[in-house]
Amino acid sequence: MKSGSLKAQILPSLLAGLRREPFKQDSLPSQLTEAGEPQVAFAALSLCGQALRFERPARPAEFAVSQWPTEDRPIVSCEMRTLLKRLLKEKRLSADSEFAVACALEHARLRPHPFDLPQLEGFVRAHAERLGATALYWVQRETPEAQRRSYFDAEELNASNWAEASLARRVAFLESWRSRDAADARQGLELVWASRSADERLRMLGVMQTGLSEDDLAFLEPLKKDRAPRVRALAARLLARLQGTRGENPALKECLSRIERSKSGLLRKQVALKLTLPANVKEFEAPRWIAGQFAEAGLEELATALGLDPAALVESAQKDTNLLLALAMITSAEGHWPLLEKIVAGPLPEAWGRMSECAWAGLDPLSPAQRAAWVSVAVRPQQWIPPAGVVQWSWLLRQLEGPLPAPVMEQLLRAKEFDAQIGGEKPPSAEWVQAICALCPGAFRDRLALALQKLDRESSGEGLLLLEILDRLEKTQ
Amino acid sequence: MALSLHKVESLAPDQASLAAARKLLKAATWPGLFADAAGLVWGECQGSGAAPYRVVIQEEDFGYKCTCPSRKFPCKHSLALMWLRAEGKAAFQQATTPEWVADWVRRRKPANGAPAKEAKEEAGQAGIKSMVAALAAEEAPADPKAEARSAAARERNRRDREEAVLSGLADLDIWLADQLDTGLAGFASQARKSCATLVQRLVDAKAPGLASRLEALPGRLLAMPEGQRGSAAVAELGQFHLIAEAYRRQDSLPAELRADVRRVVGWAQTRNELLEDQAALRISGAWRVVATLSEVQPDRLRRLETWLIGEGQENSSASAVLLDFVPVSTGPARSPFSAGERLAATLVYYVSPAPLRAQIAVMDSPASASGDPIAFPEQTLGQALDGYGRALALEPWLERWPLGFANCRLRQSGAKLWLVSREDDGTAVPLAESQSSTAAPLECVDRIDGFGIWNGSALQLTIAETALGRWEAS
Repeated sequence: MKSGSLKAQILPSLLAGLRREPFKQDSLPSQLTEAGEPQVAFAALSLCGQALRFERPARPAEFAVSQWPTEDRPIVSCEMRTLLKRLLKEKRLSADSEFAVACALEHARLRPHPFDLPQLEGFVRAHAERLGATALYWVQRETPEAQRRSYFDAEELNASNWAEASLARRVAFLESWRSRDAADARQGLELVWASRSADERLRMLGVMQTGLSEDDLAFLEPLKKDRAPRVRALAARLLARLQGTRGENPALKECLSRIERSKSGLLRKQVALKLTLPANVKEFEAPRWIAGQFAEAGLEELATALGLDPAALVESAQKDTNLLLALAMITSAEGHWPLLEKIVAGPLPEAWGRMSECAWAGLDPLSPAQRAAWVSVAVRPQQWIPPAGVVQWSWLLRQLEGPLPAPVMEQLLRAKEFDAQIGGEKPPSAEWVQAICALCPGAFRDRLALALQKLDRESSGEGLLLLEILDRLEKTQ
Repeated sequence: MALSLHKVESLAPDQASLAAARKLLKAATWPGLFADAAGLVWGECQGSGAAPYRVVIQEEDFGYKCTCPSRKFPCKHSLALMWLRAEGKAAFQQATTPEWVADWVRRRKPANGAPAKEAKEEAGQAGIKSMVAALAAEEAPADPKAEARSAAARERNRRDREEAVLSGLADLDIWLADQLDTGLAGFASQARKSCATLVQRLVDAKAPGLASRLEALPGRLLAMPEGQRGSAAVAELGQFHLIAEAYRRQDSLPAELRADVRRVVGWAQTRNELLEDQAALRISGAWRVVATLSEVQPDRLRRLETWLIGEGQENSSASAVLLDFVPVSTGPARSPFSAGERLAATLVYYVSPAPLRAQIAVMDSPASASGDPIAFPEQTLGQALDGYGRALALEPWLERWPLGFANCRLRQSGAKLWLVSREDDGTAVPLAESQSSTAAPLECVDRIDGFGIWNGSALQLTIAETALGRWEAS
């Protein structure tokens, strides 16, 4: 009796039950029927069961077409693979460490090993855009095709393929394109503008600061009515640079209504400005309110409206930290480094710390080089570093998307307060250590590692491993 | 063989143990750290109690011992000592082994299962009377009458047990007949309840092997796609009848099949009995670890499986599985081996028509990590399945069989992943559903040579060599 006939004649009875569907008389081999009940049923069961076990699985009629992208980015080395898995599976790994690793992989143009993607699912999901086309495919493999983002990640970007790259690479490309041929770059931007999200529009519009000229007016004018307030504010700022202040700015009017002007001084009367917060804004909410209130105000127009020049405006606000914070935000966003320096070197060295408290996004339109320049001016560890917390350092890391400029790190390592935080009675948290390690530039990693030796492994373990990984990734570039 | 951090990680029973071990890496915790030229490393770890815990590790085979009461193996103290050694930052003084370390060395059976060194002999040479030597000395004077009495008692127990097993099998028949009357289409949905009573009866009938197999059946059926459960129940219950019938007719069976069916029913063969069995198959040579699995059985035992394939000329087509059982109550545990490791040993196989389960009789060189590509059998998937068919013909109740294959690729059909031969025959087998995510990246490579465990309906892929390097099931 063949397997096929066993399945056809015996299996239905076994499945349905012999009470309901007994074997048909001619369905069983004669050797079995001689045995008598219940042995016949048992023999039929075993025979049919074994026949089923010898069957091979039926091959599907068709398989799905593989959509794994081909990618030029090299895969990390075996050693790096082991280190990455060790770090990224750590239970106490902070989001800063993950972010720093993702940025370092992006800068080194390396990608995680495809076989590790399931094990590193959380990390890959959070940073897929930085990890290459394969990672992006992996996190979107169950997303409906219509909603998937492009897996494009060419090694070399050009005018025809730049719009499909990740945002960071797109902005970097647009920046260099703008400096080579401003008009051509603007036309390229115009072509893709409408289909982009608010964040993308903001970052790409920031690039227009490079090579800004009268030719850009036609593109910038309509953006005053963009649906995203931050894009509108940036467009207004760029237009103000081109045209000077003309026309009404309701946001500026609102700001001016909150600024009190008075005179102070005995021998020489000087203008003193004071920002009055609304009664319902508590002190800890002040940075957020200020960031929102002054988002669309430009330095020039504010100074003009108050009848001062920008330097005098900063001078007049010296006694009001809230107004100074507002001016620090405006000067940061517009790249007025000397005025920003005057603020942070004077009464408000903690300006960047207060910006971080409200997760201020005003630096978004700046290029990486501009942000590094901003950090060099705004962050003065000898004068102020945040109390042992991670919020400020995390924010700074996200602004920089990489390590601190070397002089700033040098100052940080020399700062007494930093020493006190490492060597204090209460050891710093593992998250704090990881944030500092993530911000540490290559040349200072050995020094930092040495300083961290004072801590026990529980605080410093992940940080030290992060330093090693960042160092190796940098050296592969 | 040097310890590495990777090895320490793989030995740790869980992440919490590693985290706890890290807290013990401070120098102050270890008043002294010592090592000798033979790869023994020891120290005393200051815990919360007055007396420090004594910890010793053997670098050669990653054996360890700690005097702490932890039920995790290895405990955090052993892991911390391994970590310190692997990292190489702490200073270990060269010293002669103290008595407590020497005693452990004499008493231990290495983790890899090879027999201990000649304990008594070494103890005699050292002029030390270890616990093992003391116990052996106590057992030495044998009383022939007492021995005869105990042999008679053993024989009586054996006969009683044979009768109990046969009565248990009679109950199995009644239960099977009931299931067949009712029909097996819906068996899976009520299998847990339906099997529970008979499992208890088989335990009472001293057929623990059969009881465990039946207890695991509902889980196996429910893990399958719903449409296949009815047929799978027929195949599974058919095996139970085959086992029962073979057991009742064991005297007429070939010796290998008889030994096998007795083991399946629950007659255990101790390691020493196996080593003394000169008829048992022995294969020597180099082996590669191709899978380490840990699974909690319904009887609250954790089954640790280490799958090996032969690498040398003598054993190129051989494969084996080493089994260890650990009570779940002792906490997490892992196989002492890691996938990809290489070792040289003589394996002795439990007698079976399709020999697979084995013990290490002699360890010639302990397991060491190796990045060399694993040489899987140069056979197509179809040929590997033919091998399964041959084994199934020899051992009808075969549960799982190793499949080593070359030249395949992974394809997706619906939600399932399939391993497909790249040869003309186009043989394809589905992967276990639990691997639909972890194995998915293998889709991006053109060719896979690998190893998996086939249960007749799905393949559990455990390791593969590809153009992108080695893939291991996590």
